[in-house]
Amino acid sequence: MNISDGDFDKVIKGQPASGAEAAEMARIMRRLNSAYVSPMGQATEARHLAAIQQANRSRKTGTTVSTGLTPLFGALRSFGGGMRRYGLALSGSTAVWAVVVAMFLVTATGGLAAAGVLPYPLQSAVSQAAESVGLEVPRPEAPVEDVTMSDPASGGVAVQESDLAAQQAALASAEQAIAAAEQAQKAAQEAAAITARCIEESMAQVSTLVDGILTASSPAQAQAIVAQARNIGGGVKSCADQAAAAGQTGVGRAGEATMLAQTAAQGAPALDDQGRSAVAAAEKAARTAATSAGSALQMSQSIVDNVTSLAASLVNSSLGLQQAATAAAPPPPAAGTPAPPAGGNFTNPGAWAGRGMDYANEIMRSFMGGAGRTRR
Amino acid sequence: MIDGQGLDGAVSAAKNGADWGWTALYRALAPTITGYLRAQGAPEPEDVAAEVFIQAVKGIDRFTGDGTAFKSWIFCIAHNKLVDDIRKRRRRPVDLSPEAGRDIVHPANVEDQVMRNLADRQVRQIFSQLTADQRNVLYLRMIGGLTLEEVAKVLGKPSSAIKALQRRGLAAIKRDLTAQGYQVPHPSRLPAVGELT
Repeated sequence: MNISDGDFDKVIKGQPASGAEAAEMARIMRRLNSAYVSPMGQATEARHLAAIQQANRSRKTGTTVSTGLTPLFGALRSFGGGMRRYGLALSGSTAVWAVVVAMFLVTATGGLAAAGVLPYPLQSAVSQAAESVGLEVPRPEAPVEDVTMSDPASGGVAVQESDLAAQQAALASAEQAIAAAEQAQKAAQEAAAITARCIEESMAQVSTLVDGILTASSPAQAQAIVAQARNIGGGVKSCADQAAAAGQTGVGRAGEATMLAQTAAQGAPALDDQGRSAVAAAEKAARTAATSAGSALQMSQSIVDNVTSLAASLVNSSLGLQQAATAAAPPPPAAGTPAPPAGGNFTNPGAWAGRGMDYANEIMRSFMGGAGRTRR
Repeated sequence: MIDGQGLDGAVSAAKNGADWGWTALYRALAPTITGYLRAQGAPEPEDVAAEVFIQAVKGIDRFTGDGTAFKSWIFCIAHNKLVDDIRKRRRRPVDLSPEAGRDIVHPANVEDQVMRNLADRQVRQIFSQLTADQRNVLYLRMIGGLTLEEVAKVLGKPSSAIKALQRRGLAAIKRDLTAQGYQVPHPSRLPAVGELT
């Protein structure tokens, strides 16, 4: 079709265009719309409008489906508002933010996971997290069940008195394994909760900081922002360390649970059905705890990595911000002249605004750096 | 073709949570969005279009702009939903060719219906020869009424790439028409486009 771009635009807008080619294109366009576009049926429209208005009411009243991640997404959304104001918009839905968070979380162990060399629970957790953002990470080989529980009845093995101590030891190990697994689960939950709180708090603080950078209009405000940047850097690092410590505790307790369950399994063949069920339950609890704790540790380690980077950026930026504040501040009074009144505005606000924007962007990029560093 | 500028008031009302704003936007845009989805082979285009609007309701707080921007934005949602849908259906293969688009039921007599269906089939055949990218561009332009720049935003490609895809798509349509033995009539025997109904 030798139709010019201009004539094609006219055809699209339904405006007169000269030439047979344009006329033919207009015919094709009418036919195309006739083939595919038709008014919505009354019943369909009524059904759709009811659903749309329902969604609109839910939005107005703030009704949301309650999930454990809602507070996190709320924080992400408010952070997104800050980012958009500074030209770092990540448009999209909650799902997009979830992807950003997932990428953020898988960064720390991404390299090892890509190599498929992480321990089973970690590899499994990383694979699942990476798949949720469209990355391909090798799925782990499921560990071979190294515990077999033979049926004593089939072997005709009678329980002897000398076995009694072993049986009691096996049951005690199973009981301890379950207790350790429960502690590991609690530690994993704590690590996850601290991790979520850490993200939420640091995002809120960074968002406030960036707002402050761009709205500061006086040297006094600029100095306060510089101090704030340094404090936030230290605060988020401390928060991330707590999450990592909880993750480590969980993995440690899960390891104990696994060892105790293995000890219990060794004595399982001599146990009756009830005893073997207890051992099997202990093994299952230990495996579940190991997975949860591994996943929690991986999350918290990612947070440590990314937040450490953010903290470093905040400290570096505060130095730059300090210089920008000095450049924008009024010159010191010459000897013998009265000092200017305190609380005055910048005499060179452009110097602060220009560099402030640069540092605000740098801080944002640093915070979202996890996504950029994610490896395939 | 709906002009985005005519939607400014409705967009503003929708942002403020007024139902009438959403009703106006739905009535103005749902047919073309459904048409786009249908042309692309979405199996339940009306319902997908409703989902697109519900997603827009949920995300309107994050949207900034006027009616024109809203039109691009909602087509962007529709296109992304379509891509997701195609990705899901790849796991359960179905006929995704434009030919799979369902026949439109027109409330005309049978003869008229048959003639329309023949014409519709011809136009579907023409567009089915294009690459997916060329089809995306031409459908968004010719059904959605989007500008080159708006299509670029929806598809996440530079305007220059969209322009090239448009040119190649139009050239392919010409080749197809020529291969079918169709000759563009002499301009003197044609009415101006604006006079066509």
